[in-house]
Amino acid sequence: MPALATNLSAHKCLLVEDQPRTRDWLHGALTSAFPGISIVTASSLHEAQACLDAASGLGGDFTLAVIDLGLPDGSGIDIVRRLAAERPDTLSIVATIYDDDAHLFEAIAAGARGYLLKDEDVDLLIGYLRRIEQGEPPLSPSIAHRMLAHFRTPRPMSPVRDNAGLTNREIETLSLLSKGLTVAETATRLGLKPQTVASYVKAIYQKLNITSRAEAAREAIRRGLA
Amino acid sequence: MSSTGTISEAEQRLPTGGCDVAGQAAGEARRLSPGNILLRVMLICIAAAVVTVAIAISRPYLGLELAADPVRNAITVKSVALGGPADGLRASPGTKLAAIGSARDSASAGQVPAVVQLTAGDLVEDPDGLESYAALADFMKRQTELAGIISGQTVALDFTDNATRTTYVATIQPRARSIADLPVVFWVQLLSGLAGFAIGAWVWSMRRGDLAAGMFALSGVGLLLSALPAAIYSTRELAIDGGSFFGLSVLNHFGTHMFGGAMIALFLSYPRPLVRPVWLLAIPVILAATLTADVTRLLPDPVTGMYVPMLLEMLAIIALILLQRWLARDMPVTRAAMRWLGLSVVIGAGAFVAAIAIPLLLEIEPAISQGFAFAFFLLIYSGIALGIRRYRLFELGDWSFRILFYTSGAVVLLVLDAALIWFLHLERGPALGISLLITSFGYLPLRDALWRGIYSKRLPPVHELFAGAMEVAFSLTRAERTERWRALLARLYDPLKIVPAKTPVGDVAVVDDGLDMLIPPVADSPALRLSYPFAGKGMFGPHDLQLAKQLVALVMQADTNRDAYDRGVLEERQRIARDLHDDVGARLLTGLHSVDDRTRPVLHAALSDIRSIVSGLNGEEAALDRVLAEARHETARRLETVGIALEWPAMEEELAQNAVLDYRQTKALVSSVREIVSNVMRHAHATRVRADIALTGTDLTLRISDDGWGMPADGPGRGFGLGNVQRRVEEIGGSLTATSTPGGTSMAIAVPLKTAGHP
Repeated sequence: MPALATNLSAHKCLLVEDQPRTRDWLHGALTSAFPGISIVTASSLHEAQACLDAASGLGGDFTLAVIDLGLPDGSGIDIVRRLAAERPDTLSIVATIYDDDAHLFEAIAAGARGYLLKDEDVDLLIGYLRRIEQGEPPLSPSIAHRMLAHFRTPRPMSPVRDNAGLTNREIETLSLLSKGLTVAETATRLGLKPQTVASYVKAIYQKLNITSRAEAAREAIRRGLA
Repeated sequence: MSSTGTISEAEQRLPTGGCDVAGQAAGEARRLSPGNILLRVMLICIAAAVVTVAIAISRPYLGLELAADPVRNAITVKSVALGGPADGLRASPGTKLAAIGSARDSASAGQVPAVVQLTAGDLVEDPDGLESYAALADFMKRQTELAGIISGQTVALDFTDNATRTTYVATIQPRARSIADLPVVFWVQLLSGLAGFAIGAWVWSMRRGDLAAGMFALSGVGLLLSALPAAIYSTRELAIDGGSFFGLSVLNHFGTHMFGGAMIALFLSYPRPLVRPVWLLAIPVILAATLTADVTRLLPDPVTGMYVPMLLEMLAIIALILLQRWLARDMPVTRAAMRWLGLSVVIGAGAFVAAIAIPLLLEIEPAISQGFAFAFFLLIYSGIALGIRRYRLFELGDWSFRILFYTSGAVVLLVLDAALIWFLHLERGPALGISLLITSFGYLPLRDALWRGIYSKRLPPVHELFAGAMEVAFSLTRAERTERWRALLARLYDPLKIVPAKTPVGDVAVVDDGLDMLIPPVADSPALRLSYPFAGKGMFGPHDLQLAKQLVALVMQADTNRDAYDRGVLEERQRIARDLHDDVGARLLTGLHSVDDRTRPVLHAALSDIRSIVSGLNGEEAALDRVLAEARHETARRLETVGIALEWPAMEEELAQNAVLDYRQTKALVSSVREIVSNVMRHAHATRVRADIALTGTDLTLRISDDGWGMPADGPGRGFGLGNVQRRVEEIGGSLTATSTPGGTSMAIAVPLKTAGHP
């Protein structure tokens, strides 16, 4: 959808990556994907936090943030979390070389709306960036599997259960993705349009974030912190 | 009336009911263990039996078995006891005993010797069946006279021979009855009474504070009080003193009403409480009034005084049982239990009433002796004992039988001791020395061994405890830990019951006056309640509490250590994984983004390997379905970029879920698929790729075929990637089969599998 892409190009992107070459490479990919986008780069957690502090002062919000998780002074998840709390409209995308649940589940629960694999070919990467921006985040089988387990675990005291619970279609989607099917294949299997399945995936991302925040709050209350 | 109560609810409600009859009565006894109580009950039984037998044999004895002849209104001789006082008399069976009197020669001067003509009525088993209170008074008077005559030194018996119609007088000296002379019907009544009492007390000893169990036990006491006096007076040879007779009869009536009243109270409160416990007090009030009216002869006749109330009690019991069953219609388990309990009571007590009370009410002679009819009550109590096993009546289970076993052991020892004393007594004199020797070297060690075998608390030595605790903490699975923890507690304290505690437990605590111990949650087990330690023979003492505290602390400590160890292993693995990711991965990535196209695949492969290694660092075996899902996902993504269609059908899930791959197998499989797909993308000029998976119990075959140009028989394609694939697959004991035609290539990897849990 070029309209949206152009729309986004008018906005700002925060790129957090400590390796200079990779940063340049991601920079290039972002510029190709969204021509005209203005990119602010940060090479550490500290710098990224400073960028966010500065931006909030000026009122110029980031529309997009591409965040590396392994930063020299901490985990990029902190940035993801901060963005989810302070600027829910910002699209946080995690850049990683692993797409397994151990690395990504926490980031998604913290509010990431998509992820990129950094060893992908640049053309492929541009494609993925655009897709995420259009509301079609990727979901690897292991993350889908982990999400299924997460939503199947009963949380009897959860006040947000009804909002966070998945619909039957969403559960079907997750279980097909967990078997290694792509979004397009899942759509064919379910007799739906790929866009519909993509919207399920997006909804699943958000619901995971909602339940995780509710659980964190409950845990805090239980420990007497809140 | 409660409409919603269930068994357990009823029990929970009882202590707050304000009128916990059984609980109050048990206040003192609560401090005793069930085994201890049962032992006392056994002693009471022995004492009651001794007293009853003593009274029964203390009456003077003629040595005649007499029978009533209602047609001739006479008493005839049935048999003469061998070796008895009447042995040697010319009294063949059927000879009429017309009268007895004090011996003429022994009568003091001036006094007419007392002679009493006998009638069939003198032998009546139980005078409750007589037609009027006047007849009853007359009967008692005659009993007193007859008893007076028999207790004289010499007794004259007036016989009338059946055949010859000749009369003659014989004189005999009555003497005490021996135990062997007591008839079978005496023992039947004695044993019925004792068994009912003991079974009732057994149930109560384990369910003290429970109203229903208390009522059940009370009914047993009633049976005892009813059966034992009846055993004495119904098996009298001819007469016992009217005063004693009356006393025994009142006791018998009292016991009967106690049985009936307690049974009514039982079914008013079990399984579902039908009235507030305080209303149950109305039962003894009504029954006491009935008994008083009967004893003071205010009622029309003895039958109305005894058998009518008995019948009414029985009808009330049956009605309550039916009502309880109806109320339990939606609760199958309770209903089954009620059926069993109700059937026992209705058949047992009902048979007694039908065999004795109803014929008497209809003025028919009962078909069987009342004494034998007492055996029907054994049906009730043994039925309930079986019900406890089968239906967990009164919430008791199999475990409650163990306590019977141990108490029986104690009684056996007691009887052995008594036998020994008796034996020594008989063998006084020259044999005493031998007896002493036998006792010291044979009996005492044997007795000691028996006692220790049944009763000793064996605490395992400290090192065994420690080993036990470690075994618990370092078991591999949660289920195993829980199970071993329970087993350890069971071995230490041998409790009759171990159940999860209903309330949270913070620390080890001894509750219920030492009958129960609470264990906090450790070793992945919930908090536990241990009941009736040492097979119900003992109680939890301070030493046991101390030991449990130490044990819990030990297991908790071990738990913490194990957790720390596990966490350490995990952290170390995560550190390695992080280093690989952050350092090696980042360098490779940098390289990837700066080198030419020829080197890029190598760096890609290196990154892929790091991914596999990192996930392998979790050390876990991977389920085959997960591995295949990842491989499928990766393949689909890669083929998508070059526009090759993928067909990878789903397969049988069951098999794939159960099969597991270890790290080496996973890595070999994933790398092989990656390599084969790379070859297709690079060299095959294909438009479609198809993957077929065939799974048997032991082997996985993965076939990847394309519709490309096929491999040149000796071309560069062969040497480049396939050598690697072949090597990887062979390393894990598999094989690679490649078939190539001009219409496409097909690569089949066959890999041996193992199933989860069966390495």
